[in-house]
Amino acid sequence: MFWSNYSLLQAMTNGRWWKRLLIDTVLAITAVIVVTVFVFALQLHARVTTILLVDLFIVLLLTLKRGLRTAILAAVAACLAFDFFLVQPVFSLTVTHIEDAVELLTFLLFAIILSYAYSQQQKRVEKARQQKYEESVLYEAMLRKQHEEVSRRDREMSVFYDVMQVTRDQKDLKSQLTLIARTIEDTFAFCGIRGCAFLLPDLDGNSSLSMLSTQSTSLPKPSSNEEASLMWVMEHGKSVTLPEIPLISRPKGSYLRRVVVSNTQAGHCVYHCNHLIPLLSRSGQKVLGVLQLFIEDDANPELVAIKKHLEKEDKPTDNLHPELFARLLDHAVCLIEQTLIERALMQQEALHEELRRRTEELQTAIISSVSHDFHTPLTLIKGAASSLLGQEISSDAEPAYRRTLEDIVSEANWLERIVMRMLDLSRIENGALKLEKELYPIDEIILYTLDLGHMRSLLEGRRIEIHVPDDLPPVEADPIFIGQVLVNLIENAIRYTPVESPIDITVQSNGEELLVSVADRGPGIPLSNIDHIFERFYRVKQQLHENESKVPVRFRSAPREQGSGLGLAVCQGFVKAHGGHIWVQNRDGGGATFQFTLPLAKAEGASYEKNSRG
Amino acid sequence: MKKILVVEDQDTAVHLLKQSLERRYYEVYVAHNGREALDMIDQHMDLVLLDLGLPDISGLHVCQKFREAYPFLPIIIISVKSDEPEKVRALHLCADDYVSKPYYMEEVLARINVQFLHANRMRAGAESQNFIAGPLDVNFVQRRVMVHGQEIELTFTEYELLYILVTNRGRIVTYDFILSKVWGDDDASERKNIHVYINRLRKKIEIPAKRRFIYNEAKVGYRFQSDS
Repeated sequence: MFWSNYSLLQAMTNGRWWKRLLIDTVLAITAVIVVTVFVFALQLHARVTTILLVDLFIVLLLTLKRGLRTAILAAVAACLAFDFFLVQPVFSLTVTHIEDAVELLTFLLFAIILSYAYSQQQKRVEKARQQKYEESVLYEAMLRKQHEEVSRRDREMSVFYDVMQVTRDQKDLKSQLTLIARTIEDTFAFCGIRGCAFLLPDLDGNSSLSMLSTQSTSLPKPSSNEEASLMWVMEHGKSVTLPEIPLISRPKGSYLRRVVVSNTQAGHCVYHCNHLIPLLSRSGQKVLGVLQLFIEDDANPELVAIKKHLEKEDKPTDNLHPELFARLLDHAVCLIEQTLIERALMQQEALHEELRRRTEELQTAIISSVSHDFHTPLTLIKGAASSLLGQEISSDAEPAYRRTLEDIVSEANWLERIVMRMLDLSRIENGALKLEKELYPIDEIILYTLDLGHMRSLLEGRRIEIHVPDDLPPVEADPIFIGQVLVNLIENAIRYTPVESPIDITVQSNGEELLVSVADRGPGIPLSNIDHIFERFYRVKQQLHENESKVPVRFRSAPREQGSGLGLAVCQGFVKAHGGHIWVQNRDGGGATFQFTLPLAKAEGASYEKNSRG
Repeated sequence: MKKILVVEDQDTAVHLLKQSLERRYYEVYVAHNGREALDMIDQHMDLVLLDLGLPDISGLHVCQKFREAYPFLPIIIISVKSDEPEKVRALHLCADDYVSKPYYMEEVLARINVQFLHANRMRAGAESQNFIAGPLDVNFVQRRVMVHGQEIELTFTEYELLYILVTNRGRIVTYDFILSKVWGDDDASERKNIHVYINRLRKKIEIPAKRRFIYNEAKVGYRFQSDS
């Protein structure tokens, strides 16, 4: 019957249904007896309604507590008890008045219907509760699954992130790849991956594959057959699965199966297959190496997904494992490519360096031998000729004789200057320039320059106009080098300036740097030359100035030359070494202005004022 | 006749110097190395021309030995560019002046002349009360400096600088010497400002483009020249 289906079945399946039925019966009868006893004890015979209501209450109570069956039992028992004890004739189950029969029957029906309705309601509530419970269980399961998924993604991301981080800290490719291999082994052990190795061709370009990276000693070295397969993968850029176990070659060309056993801590484990995956460069055109996987269970669904993903057959996937695997491989490829590029750059650099070193050695050797070999004879030629010129008798000697001596001195001076400039240039270009900066008022350097022995002779009969404001801060400079810059610029100016026009040396300051200008009234610099004038051995093509003959004889350049083509290059080198720059521009009204800047030391000006004891 | 010792190992250079000096009526003695030079130390030379790069012992050592023996003996060293630090040390310790190779013979002769003038002055005893050169008039007793008859106000440091330069005129006074005399050895912090002080002194006593007294030998020292 419907109403008892659930509890009865449950009771039956439990094997205690009859116990429960007994208890129900006893309970129903006991309840009715208790009510009857109360009626008799309290003399409530006349209060029929009260008795029926109390019975009804008991029936409903039992419905609630014990179920419909007990309630019906109680209702029947209550009817019988009412009939037996209260309905005329008392103490008999017969009914004399039809009204009593109707009353009893109505009570019974009412009690049954009420308890049935009540129990139905109960059941619905119970069912709803059950449903709700089931739903919540399902929901929890779903939540747990989602949480697991998220944490797995998180774990995998963190695995990847860790790999990125750690490989960034590792310097050499081998340890980087070892790390990735270890990560693959650890992370994908559940897919049946038991070993992982990156095999790369010799980075120096040899074709043989070397086992660059592997986690444990348990991995076997590739056999010759495996090597052939590796080469095939390298050539064709396609994955290969070597079924079951690797083969080893035997001399006669037949093959013998070999079971590879590794002694991992977990005990013996047999590699069932050997999967070779090509590492394609990101452009996809080159095979950089091979990833070798030792797989225990080739049919593992996760592994199949990974393989499919790698072969681009299964692009969109909600499963993260293939994605992580592919990312790790991508990262490995990145690292390999980076190393290859670095290596190529380094090789190129080493080549350049070697070339530069050799050129430099040669240059230095030439320059030092030139300067050494020139210096001694120069000293003698210059000394001898000037001593002869200085002799009192020389003034009486033949003019031609004197002229010859003058030429000797002039040539010696010329050579000396070239030697000095070549030495300067070689020092600039070798980075061997050692500045010894001192705090100098710029006018001290200008005076020092003009005081130099050969400058004094060169400037004989020339007008130099110096414009230096009194309040200029001192500059940190090497007086010899900046002096040399000024010497070269002044010599250059003299070479092109008529003897009667002055050479202007002007200094200005903008608070951050000094601007030093040397301006002449020569023909200026042809525009096409302005960009090249500071290159070494570059000479401005133009006629020698007619005033050249008025330059004192010692410094008259040899007629075939205008300049060495080195002076301005030296200037640029020295100025740059001081952190300044140099340029040239043509002057309004004719002539050229060479300008260079020298950075001023910050807040340097005040210290000497303060310390002055005077 | 003044006796000049030429210490130089290169025969041609010796020959040239000897020729030029003898033409100026100096008596020239030659030492081809340091030992020969030291052997002649008790011959009372009037001046020594000393090449720093000698084949046997260092020129600096020879220079010091001569200085120990004769406090007022003028010593001029001949140096090449690569000997820069050695030259500065020699000037600080014992030498009076230097010429760089390759040199003009006139330059050497001029330096020798200046040294003889200076030596004469030193031998004459203490400085007189006044030093006069062209427009410049320095009174050492009153510590007063006049230019063109106008009194110039010098700070303590400027006066000390001028005093050292004037009393050592004709010679190169190294930066270290100036520092030790003006500021004492302990004040190395003033080393970097020396050119700034000199510049200020120069602006007070020199007449631009007309009369110069103080000459800079970059990286070595200053020279006061009253007879330019």
